[in-house]
Amino acid sequence: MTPPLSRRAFALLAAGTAATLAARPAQAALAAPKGRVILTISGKIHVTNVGTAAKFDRDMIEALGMTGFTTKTPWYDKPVAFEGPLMTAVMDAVGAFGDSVVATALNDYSTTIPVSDFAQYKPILALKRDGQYMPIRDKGPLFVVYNFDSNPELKQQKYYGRSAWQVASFTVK
Amino acid sequence: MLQTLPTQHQGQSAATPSGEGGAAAASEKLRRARPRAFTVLLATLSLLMLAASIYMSVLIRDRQRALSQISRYNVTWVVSQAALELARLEAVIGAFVIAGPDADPSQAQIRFDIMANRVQVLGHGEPGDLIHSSPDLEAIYNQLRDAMAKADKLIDHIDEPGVPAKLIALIEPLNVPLSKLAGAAHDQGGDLVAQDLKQLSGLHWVFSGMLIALILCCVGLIIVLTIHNRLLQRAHAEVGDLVTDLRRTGSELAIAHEETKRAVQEIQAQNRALQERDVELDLQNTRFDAALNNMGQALCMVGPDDRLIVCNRPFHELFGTGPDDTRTGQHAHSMFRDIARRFANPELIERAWHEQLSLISERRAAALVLEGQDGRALAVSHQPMEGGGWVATYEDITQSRLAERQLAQAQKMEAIGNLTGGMAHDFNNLLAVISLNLEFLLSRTDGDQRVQEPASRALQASLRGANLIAQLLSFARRQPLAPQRISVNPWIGSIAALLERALGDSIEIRLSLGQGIWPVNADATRLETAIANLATNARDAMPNGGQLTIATSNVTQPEPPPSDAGDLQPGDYVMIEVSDTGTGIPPEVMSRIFEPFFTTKPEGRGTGLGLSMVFGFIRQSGGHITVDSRPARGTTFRLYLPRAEGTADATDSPPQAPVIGGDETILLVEDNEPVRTITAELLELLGYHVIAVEHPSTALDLLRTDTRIDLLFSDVVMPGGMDGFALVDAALQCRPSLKALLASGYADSTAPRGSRSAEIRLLTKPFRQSELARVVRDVLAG
Repeated sequence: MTPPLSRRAFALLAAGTAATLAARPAQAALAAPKGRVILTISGKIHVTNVGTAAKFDRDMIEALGMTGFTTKTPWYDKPVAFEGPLMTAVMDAVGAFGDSVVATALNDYSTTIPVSDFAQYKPILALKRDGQYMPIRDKGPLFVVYNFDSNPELKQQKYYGRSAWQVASFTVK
Repeated sequence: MLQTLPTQHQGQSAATPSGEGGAAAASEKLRRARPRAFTVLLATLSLLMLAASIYMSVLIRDRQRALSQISRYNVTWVVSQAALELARLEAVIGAFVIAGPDADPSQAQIRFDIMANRVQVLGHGEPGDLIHSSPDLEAIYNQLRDAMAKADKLIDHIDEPGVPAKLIALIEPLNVPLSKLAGAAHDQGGDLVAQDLKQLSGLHWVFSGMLIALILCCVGLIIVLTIHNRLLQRAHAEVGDLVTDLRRTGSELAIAHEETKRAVQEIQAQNRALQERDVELDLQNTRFDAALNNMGQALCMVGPDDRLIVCNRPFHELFGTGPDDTRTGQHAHSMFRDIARRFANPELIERAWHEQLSLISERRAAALVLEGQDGRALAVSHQPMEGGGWVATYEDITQSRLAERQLAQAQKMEAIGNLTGGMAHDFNNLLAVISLNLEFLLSRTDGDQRVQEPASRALQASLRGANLIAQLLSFARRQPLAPQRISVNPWIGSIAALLERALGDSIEIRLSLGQGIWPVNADATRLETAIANLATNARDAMPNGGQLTIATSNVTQPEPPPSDAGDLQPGDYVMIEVSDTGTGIPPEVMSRIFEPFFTTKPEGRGTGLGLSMVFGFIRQSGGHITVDSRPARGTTFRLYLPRAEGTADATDSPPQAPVIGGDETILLVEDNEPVRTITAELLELLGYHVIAVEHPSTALDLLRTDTRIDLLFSDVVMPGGMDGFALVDAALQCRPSLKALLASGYADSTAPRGSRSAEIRLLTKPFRQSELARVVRDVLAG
């Protein structure tokens, strides 16, 4: 008897949560991805579209609002122009309420980024380099990039390390 | 610092009475000195520390940067990632080899892309720098890239048989170049570590330097602190000394203050004393002036420079100078020259000054008496002063010399009088015996001319002798006087008539009688004799004739008597002036004219008793005689006789009663046997019963009996202690009604004051028989 009760209670809870989320005007409900999913966000988020996670295809990410800057990086010989939505926009889209985000790349590399970085340094989740979508062979499809030239503080290993490429998922903690 | 203290003290002592202000300043100084040094040191130290910390923070930032560089350029990590990703690619491809076409080709594609991305990453950035730094590494990298490029062509066909094996064959050997790259990266990492170590070593040196600097700083600080401490200690000691000094100075100041107060009090006391002394000095000065000016002698004081210091009022009086003539500072010599001109006898002053000059030069004191030919005498007492100069007194002793001479004269007269008096007394007795016996003889001659004539001559001679004796006694002032009131002018008139006959025609007698001349009390007979003596002398002084003037006037001697009035006592006098126009009395004999037996007359012309008699008589009468004589001009004698009470005229001598005897009993007391005998005989001749005794005591014994005695007739001067007066007194005690008569050869036989004997009649010896008879009869009748 207990499991059905539990399941019903969970359902009620989930329905309550959904109702609560629906009631939030700033966070529109996230539509399900139509194309190939390139980003999955989970953890402490209010907005999900697939199970407990929020999954994004490339169009959905571009829909968050593209912005960009040109900066030198340790990985290219010349300054390059990156384009993509602000990390704050990404976090807002999922109603993240944690303190840090663990970014995990395709090559199993992971790094922890404090959420405070996003408001302070305005890093973007780059999709394009020099106007072209980045392939996996060239650090694509998603690359968390800080505008290193905008602030000398950023030119250190700490921020180079947080700049994760070939990003596949975020876990808000 | 300490040397300036007194000044500070003086400055501060005005505001603060003690030295506390100085001590406060010292402690202030100490308090200021300590923080200043510490502040400097601490500031220096903190600046050093600040600089060090700044430098250290810079170094640490650099170090952080270096460390971050190390991480950033950790090529080893990149290479190891590449090895890891290569291994996963191999595993995916391996799955194709094992499972065949059933395996997921997309997974292989992703892993291949990741590996391709890694190889691309290796070719750029720092790993690229490392690889391009060495041809060997570049060859290895090219080997990797070439292999990946070959594999890229095959990866799309991985699901085809045989392709995965080809891929494995292409990829698997890539571990070799990757390990070579890893080794190179490791070597480079070691280089980086070495670089890091080098940097760290630099840091170490910096820290060491800083440490050394800190140590040096500390040492310096310690040294500075030590020195500063020493300085502070010294300053503290100095300040302590200063404070001690200040306290000492303070206490000294307090003491000084006390002393000053005391000194001020002393000065005030001294001032008061000085003021008192000034007053005292003024007083003394006044007294000194008074003493100086009221001393009897003229005084002048002359300084060592022979200049006048002071002279007194008597000086001016003596020398007729004024203060203008004798200024202080005037030269003594010129002053005395000036004085000499003014003085009555300049020669005297010149002599005095001459004497003084020698005394001044010898610095000797002396008393001089200088006498001029005019009789003026000057006494000078010269005394050198201690420290130079001299003081001298001057006195005109003319008057006192005169007075001295007069005194000496009087004393001489007194002595002569005593001598002559005593002699005359004895002579009187002898003459009395002679004359009484001669009278007795004459009464019995019964007209026998042969006896009567010589006896009469002898009697006359004895009477003349008696007269001489009377004159002697008169000079000796021992002549018994019978003073009576005399109306002077009429009396002079009668005398003048007598004198005209006696002096002869060549002498003109002039009378200058004053109005209202007082009567005098004098013995008329003696006065007559005195005038006659003076007239006789005048006549003798005018052998060629001249004028004799007798003048009378009333004279009142005021009190005190003028100095030139001689012995004249104050009172009213009648002056009888007898002056002639004769030769005058030579000065050299002037002092001797009143001496008995002194005469200038030829032998036999004068007795030398005339003026002596006048002198003695006048003095005995309480008067005075002066003489004023100028050679060739004449002589004036002035007789001063005391004024008698009342204004009654002189009564004429009582008429001579006839000699009458009686039958009464007379007790005769006489120590001189011849006198007693002749007196008794004379009385018996007159009919009286005479009981003659020698001693008064015998007389008294007799008086105490019932023996009839009607009259006690006694000599005054008797041996045995009881004189005539005393005897009479004693007799009157027994017989109050007893009548008494005294006889005396001395004028000074006067009864003791207040005794009844004073009323007793005195008979002057030698007496004549007729006189005796009359007086005895008078007494018995009275």
